[in-house]
Amino acid sequence: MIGPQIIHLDYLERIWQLRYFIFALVQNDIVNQRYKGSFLGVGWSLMRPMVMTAILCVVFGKLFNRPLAEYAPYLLLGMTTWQFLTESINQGCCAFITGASYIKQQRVPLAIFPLRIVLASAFHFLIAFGIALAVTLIFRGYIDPLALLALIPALLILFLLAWSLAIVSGVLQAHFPDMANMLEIFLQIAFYVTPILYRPEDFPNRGRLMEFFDWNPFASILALVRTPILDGTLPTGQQIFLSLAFLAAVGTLAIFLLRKLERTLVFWI
Amino acid sequence: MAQIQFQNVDLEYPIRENQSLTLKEIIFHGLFRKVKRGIRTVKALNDLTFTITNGERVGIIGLNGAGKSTLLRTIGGIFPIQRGTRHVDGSICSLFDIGVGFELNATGWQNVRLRGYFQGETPTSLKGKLQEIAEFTELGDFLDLPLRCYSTGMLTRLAFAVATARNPEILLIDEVFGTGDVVFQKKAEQRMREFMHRAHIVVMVGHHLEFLQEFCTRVIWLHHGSIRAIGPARETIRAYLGEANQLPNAA
Repeated sequence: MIGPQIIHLDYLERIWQLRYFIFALVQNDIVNQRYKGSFLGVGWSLMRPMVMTAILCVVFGKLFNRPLAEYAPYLLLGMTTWQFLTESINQGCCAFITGASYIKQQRVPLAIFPLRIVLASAFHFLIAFGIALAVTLIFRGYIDPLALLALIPALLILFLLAWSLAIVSGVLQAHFPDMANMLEIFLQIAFYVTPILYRPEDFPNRGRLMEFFDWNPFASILALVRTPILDGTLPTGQQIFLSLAFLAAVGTLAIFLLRKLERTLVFWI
Repeated sequence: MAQIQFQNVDLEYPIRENQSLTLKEIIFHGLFRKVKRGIRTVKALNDLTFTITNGERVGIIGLNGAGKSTLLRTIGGIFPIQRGTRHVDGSICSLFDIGVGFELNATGWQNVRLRGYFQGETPTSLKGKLQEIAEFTELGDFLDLPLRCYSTGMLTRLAFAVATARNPEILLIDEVFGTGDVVFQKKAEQRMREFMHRAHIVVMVGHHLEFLQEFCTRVIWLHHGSIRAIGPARETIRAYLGEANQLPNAA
């Protein structure tokens, strides 16, 4: 009756049945947890990327010799998107461990715990992203309405990717406690080899480096969000393909890990 | 019709000897097979076969470490089994650790809702129960405060009121709760009895043998993860007591 594999089609349905529980948890995470008793409240989650961007704008805008009106929207859109992904991965590590008291009481589809974390950071991301759009509008004076339309599939891909990444990091962390530290270093490196602060074109002699940027899946994901707004065009076919392939790979890995390890995960947390 | 059917069920679980398996151990294990992995497997349940049908009240007894709680969690579908078949028909409600699984920064009300949703309620189905739960806790305005301001007794009341506000077909209980002050205890006992009478099947682990003898129709006696005896409550408990008294450290 009970095999090790329990991801069937009804898995999503079981998640849907717990939707009120998930939303109540997310609401609690947003309202009570992170900013309890703080003056700015949710405003703090906006302050950090804003202040970071302001400083980076001044320093790197000068370094790369780019006008503020052009650089600020680029940086802001990239930073908020990147922060959403890293937050999902870093906090995804403890998704199952913080959910342990629920997992040990009742059988639940475990994917809801990474989902809870991703939904909470998606909330902060959407606010920050809205501000990034507003800043773009102020500096540029115009955003193509069609670009906003192109954002819908882009954000959907981003969300599914974040959920998959959080599942993977959560399962890994439950089995290997070293994971969180390793991922943090990895993300630190990834931040600098992904065009967030700079454009690939900023490098004087490209060649090899350009090729690397072309194949960096994070770069493609960022392009998916950034290109329509900033350039008014769709991302390149390769970028769309790479993003989807990356999502498919991480998503498959997440489903595979859950299929293999979901039932026994309770022993490790 | 609620039913629980176990056929030759084995359950093993891994235990990490040090707190957790480090990456170092994985790598060393992969490179040089000789290095011992920090994992041991413990056989917690061994070849269990039994059927519990509608209307039964079953107690699980045994010494510490006999696998009582593990069996309860296996019935509840929380632990995966290695061999055999487990078949459970009916909605399950499990009362294992009453005080855990609360969000301490959320208010009493928020926790009542959160708990309800976790157990499958919807906002509509919960609406009718909120008032009743609140009245039973006697917490009044404290329900608007975050749980971290609660005393242990208050927390227990809240947890107990929420947990027992359901109508499950199968009820799994680990130990009988020790709840709050004396007045509350009487009230809690009454509510607990009503709660247990509503369920079609009750399976409970307990050391309170007198209560088990009075309440249960059948008793499963576990010993080192195997069924030592299963039968009518009175006889099984008597046999268990007879043997336990012969142990040198028996109380």
